Amino acid sequence: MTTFAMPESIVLRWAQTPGMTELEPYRRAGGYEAARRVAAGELAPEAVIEALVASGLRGKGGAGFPTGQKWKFIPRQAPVTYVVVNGDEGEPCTFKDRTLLEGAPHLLIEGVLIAALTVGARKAYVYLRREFYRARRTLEAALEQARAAGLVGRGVFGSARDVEIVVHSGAGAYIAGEETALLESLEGRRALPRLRPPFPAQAGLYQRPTLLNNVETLCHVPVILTLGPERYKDYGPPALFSVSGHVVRPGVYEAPLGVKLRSLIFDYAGGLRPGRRFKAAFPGGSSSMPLVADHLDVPMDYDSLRVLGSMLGSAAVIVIDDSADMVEIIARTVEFYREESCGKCTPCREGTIWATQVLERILHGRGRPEDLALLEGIARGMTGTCFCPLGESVPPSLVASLRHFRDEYERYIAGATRGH
Amino acid sequence: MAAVFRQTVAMLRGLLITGRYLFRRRVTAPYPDVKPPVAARFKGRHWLTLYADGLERCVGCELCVIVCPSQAIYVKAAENTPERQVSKGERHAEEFQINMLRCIFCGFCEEACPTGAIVLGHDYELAGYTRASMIYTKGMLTEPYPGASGRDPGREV
Amino acid sequence: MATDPAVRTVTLTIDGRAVTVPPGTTVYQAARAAGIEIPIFCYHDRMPPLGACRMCLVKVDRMGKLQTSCTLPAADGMVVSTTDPEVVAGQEAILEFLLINHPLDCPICDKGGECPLQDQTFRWGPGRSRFVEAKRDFAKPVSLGPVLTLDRERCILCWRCVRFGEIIAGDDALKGFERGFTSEINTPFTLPVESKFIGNTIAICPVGALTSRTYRFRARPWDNEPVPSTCTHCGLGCAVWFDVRGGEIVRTRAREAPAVNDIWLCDLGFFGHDYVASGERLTAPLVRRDGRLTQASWEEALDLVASRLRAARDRAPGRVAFLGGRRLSNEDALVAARLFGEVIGTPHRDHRVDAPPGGASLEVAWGLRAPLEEIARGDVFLLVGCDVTEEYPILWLRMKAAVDRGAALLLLHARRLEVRRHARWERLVRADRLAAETGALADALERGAAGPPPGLEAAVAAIAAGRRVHVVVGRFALDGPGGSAVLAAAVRIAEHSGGVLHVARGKGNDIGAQRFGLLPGAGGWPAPEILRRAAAGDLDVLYVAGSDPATAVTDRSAWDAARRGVGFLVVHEAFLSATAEAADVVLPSLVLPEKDGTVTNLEGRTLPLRAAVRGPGAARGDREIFSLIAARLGALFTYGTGDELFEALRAATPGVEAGAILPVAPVPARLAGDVPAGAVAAGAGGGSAELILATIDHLFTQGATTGRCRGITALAGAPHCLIHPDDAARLGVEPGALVELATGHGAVVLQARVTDVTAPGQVLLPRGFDAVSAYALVRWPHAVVAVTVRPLVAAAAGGAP
Repeated sequence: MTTFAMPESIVLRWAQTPGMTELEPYRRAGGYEAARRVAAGELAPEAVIEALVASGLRGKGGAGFPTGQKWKFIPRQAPVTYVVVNGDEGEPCTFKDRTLLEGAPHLLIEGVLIAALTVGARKAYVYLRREFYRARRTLEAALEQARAAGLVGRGVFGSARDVEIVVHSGAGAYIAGEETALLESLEGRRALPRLRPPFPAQAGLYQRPTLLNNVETLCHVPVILTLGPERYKDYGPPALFSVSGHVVRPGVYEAPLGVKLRSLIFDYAGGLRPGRRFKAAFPGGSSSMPLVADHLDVPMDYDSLRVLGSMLGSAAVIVIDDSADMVEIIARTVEFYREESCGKCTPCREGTIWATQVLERILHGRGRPEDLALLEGIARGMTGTCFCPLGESVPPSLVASLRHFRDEYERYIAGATRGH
Repeated sequence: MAAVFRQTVAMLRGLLITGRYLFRRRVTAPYPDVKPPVAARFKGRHWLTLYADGLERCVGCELCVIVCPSQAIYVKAAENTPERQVSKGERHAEEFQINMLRCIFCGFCEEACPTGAIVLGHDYELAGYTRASMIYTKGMLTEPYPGASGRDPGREV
Repeated sequence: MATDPAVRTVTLTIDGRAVTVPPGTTVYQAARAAGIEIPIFCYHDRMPPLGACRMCLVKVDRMGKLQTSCTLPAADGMVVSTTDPEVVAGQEAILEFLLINHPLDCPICDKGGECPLQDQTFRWGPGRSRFVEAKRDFAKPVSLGPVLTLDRERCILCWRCVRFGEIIAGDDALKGFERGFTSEINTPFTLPVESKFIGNTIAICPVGALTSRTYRFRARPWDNEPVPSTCTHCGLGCAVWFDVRGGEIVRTRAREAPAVNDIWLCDLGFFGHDYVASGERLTAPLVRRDGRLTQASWEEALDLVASRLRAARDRAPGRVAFLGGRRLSNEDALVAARLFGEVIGTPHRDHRVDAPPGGASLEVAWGLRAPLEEIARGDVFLLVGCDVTEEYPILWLRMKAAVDRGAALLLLHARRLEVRRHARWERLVRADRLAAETGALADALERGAAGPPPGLEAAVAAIAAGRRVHVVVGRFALDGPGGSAVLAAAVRIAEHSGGVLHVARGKGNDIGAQRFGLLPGAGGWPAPEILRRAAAGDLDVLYVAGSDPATAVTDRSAWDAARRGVGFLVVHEAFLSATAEAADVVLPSLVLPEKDGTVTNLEGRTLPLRAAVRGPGAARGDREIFSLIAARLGALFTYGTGDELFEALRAATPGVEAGAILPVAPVPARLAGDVPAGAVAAGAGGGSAELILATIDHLFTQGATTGRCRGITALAGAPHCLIHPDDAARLGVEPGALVELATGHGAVVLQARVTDVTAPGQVLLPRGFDAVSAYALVRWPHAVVAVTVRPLVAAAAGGAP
């Protein structure tokens, strides 16, 4: 292993500095200054949005939509607008938002305040995943402090502007991480994705214009305003990668966008366990198409991965070494989507159950040679036909595994049993 | 004289043909004392068949009714109850009638039947003195015991 | 869809054909308009698109993925293909997905033969299955109440039924549960479904997941002969198909009629046809001999009736009276009016058998004063004593559509209505306070800026802001204490707001009877007066047709006295009803589904009736019976065909046209005026003398016809009364317990439902349950009836409603 100096982090460091869950240490370190300037009018909304556009910040929830652009879409004349924070971090092996929520709640609150003041929202909702009990406690405690200090609620920072922030826990559904399903859930209904258009920016929560951003995205905002977009961009621009799986040091790493997959695995995360060989890696959570050894030198950015047919997604890198059984991994992944499918649209609801049934059969030694073509057929039937990205997440990894690891499937079909 | 001879020869020639057939195999059958055999796929009288456990195969779906070109079949369905399970599943034929005067024995009903309930058997002696007697009811059509119609009661469909 | 011609259109190309549509049209609608078929499951053209089933995929140039045409707005220059190989593959994939967990038990499925999934699989499906795994397994069938059966295995989760409950009916009767492949449609806790419109979900279900319990396995679609006709239950005249198999109506379906019921029907319409085929139908005339009704020939019966009528006429025409009309067709009513008005010459004819004396029902013509389509465009609905879903369910669907567009629903009643959660304002008052409250509302409106009294602000504000106000006064208000005062106040509200006042009164063909001569002629008596005169011995013959006064007259004793006082009672009846049992001659008559002709709905619209089935035995149509009697009295009615009769109707009442509205008479601007709510009538003493009795309307009842419809009888449940929890606690009435309701005039025993649906201080008794009639407790003239409640036994285990 070569010696590697991890670059200085500008976002993650807030979560990694002890004491940042408290208001005073956070303010002493320069926190809430950006929000104060926005509240005081020192930074006009246009300037904030300009800075975001210039920074090149893109949504960190998965879709990677340019954040500045998104903020511009919110109509300025609307009588009521909302800010909704997507903290339903359900993508398997993604844990960057939780790290930020638990380590730097004030960074998020500051980001929410800036967003609300910029788009003219008086109310913001933080939608947390049900399982984030600790994050919720931390965030609510931080909100109490901020409210007591006059930073949240009526007349923030002594201005005439009100921003109320409400924390809401979901009911435990992966689909609630999809932005329109999240809005449905927040309104008290089943988390089923909505038809788009209208987009949330036009008709979101309670049919009002709504700015919906991911936790990490909003945590970048105060940093951009503090450093300025140019200096921010010098850091990469930075992104938080959740690295997990067969690496020595799994965890959240801040690295510049475009970092090589090889560097993330071997430099940041300490490499593979001794004696193991790299087999595959999901670059952006289990919804992304897995990469294989040929792709180790691919830059981890939005466009390079898209060219390969994969995606950066939530930047959750799941590393798989040669000890793993790819058929089992794919079967487990599809099973996850089967459990989490909301049931609204046909291909996702039926395709996931069918694919898991076939995969289970193969794993139990009852596979047939024609099952591989069948799996490809199921994947083809689900591609481009689903209502929302959940169903569309299944085919890429299924197809890629059939392409790259067909021999493993064939071994099962030839009579091997689980674990060879 | 010559004429007499010619006529006698002609008569003997005719008798010869008769005489030849006297020693050939007979082609007529002494029906009804002897019943001629029918082909395996002969389509005669219908049977409503049973499963080996005695449950009726007919589910009263009326596909035979709609396919019948001579509109000879009438079916009225009813629901099975836990107390009275007539067929497998939810539905059975409460009434099933075939008008044998209308039936043309095309066998479409047998083909259409999704459960293999209706089969055309080999019985062709279907005659009656009244029109009413030619409307075969469910009791007349149902085979008396599983397999009585010749259909294997263990067959799925 | 915008229809303004000034708005530009968009032109797109579908399968090589240029299609021009208004902006906002979806690609699916554009294709359908051009005659290009695209398969659908979840989309239903009466509801906004959902995009869930993914069946309607099309390929659009310059769009990467296949698009769902039902959700995709048509845009200029769009090039759409519905036949591209990619589209075909996509549709095959979707159908294959839908079918893998569909049981394919089509042979025993009631939908088989008329099933969109079957048809579309046949046309667009892959034709083979690659599925070898175990199918999704649910217990089936699940019974969701008396009329609905759920088969979750067949369900393809198109969400149409759920959205019907959300968007069209507003009752949220069915909901989605669980998620993913375990998703299912159900009622909460699989309790019996609570809806007045659930039959529609059966109709729009694209598979056999929701089927009718009453139609279950009774016929396959190819057995049925559909007969177009009109439903004659509530009086709105919804268009229906009667599906007839073997001379019996096995099913009723909605027939599309955009102006009336659109494509919907209420459950009374869907399941209220069994009575026609009842084995208890009268098949031969009955004549009373030696005190007993015995079968007679038509000749004998008609001769007897004619001779008694002739004798009475010869004494004085006014000694004959006619009651009824609700269950007669327009033509029947016309001929009856000619027989009694012209041939016999009596002015004493009235169809308003169920109106009490002194009630407002006798003061105004019944009926709506605006077409249903105009009501659907209203922006304020004030319902006074009108329980819209219990009385005129389809009217509610019109209002619901308007409420969703922002119209205000204002409710003033002595009971909480089912639709209250859609209301902007609700006022729950004791029955005897209805007049005062309506008056207060009228006062507040007229005072304007003075500031409305507390509790009325929202209603006043909504009415004041309304531009298309509809005030609907129902039977409860008209016939209740101070009905005239309610009506007068409602007139003031409608006048002040420039709105329309609707008299939501009349069932069956009451409006037709009203229009075609079954109202008192010059010097004629209204129905309560006919009864009073009959009791006084002023009548020789009382002739009843199309009504059952013994159960309909709101004072049973008034009817009994009339019966005793009149020498000869003739009844046309389909069943041996209470009236028929007391008659001297019973003439077996056809019911409306057995008649050709027309009826008039509450709007005043003339609607067609077509005989779906023949009547039983020797039963005859009412019109024919009237003609035969007229002939015996020397008058020959020569109506040959139905067309000639319809010409006679048009001649009798100019403006009557098939399918068209002829408005009912306007509400007089000045009415009898304020009648102070009467003092509490003499009631039995006791601990609960402060309780008053009021009768309410239920859609599902157990009367002569509804009691002979399996589904309806079961939906109606046991006879019961509603008591407020406060009163129940004070009186020691347990929920579900049997109680005795007693007034000074009688007592009935029935189940008590303890619920805050009713206001305190009153007992609400649904009418229409012939076994337990409220009218045995009432004595005319009444304003307010005091009642005592005595609990009999504690509730049976689990007997709570």
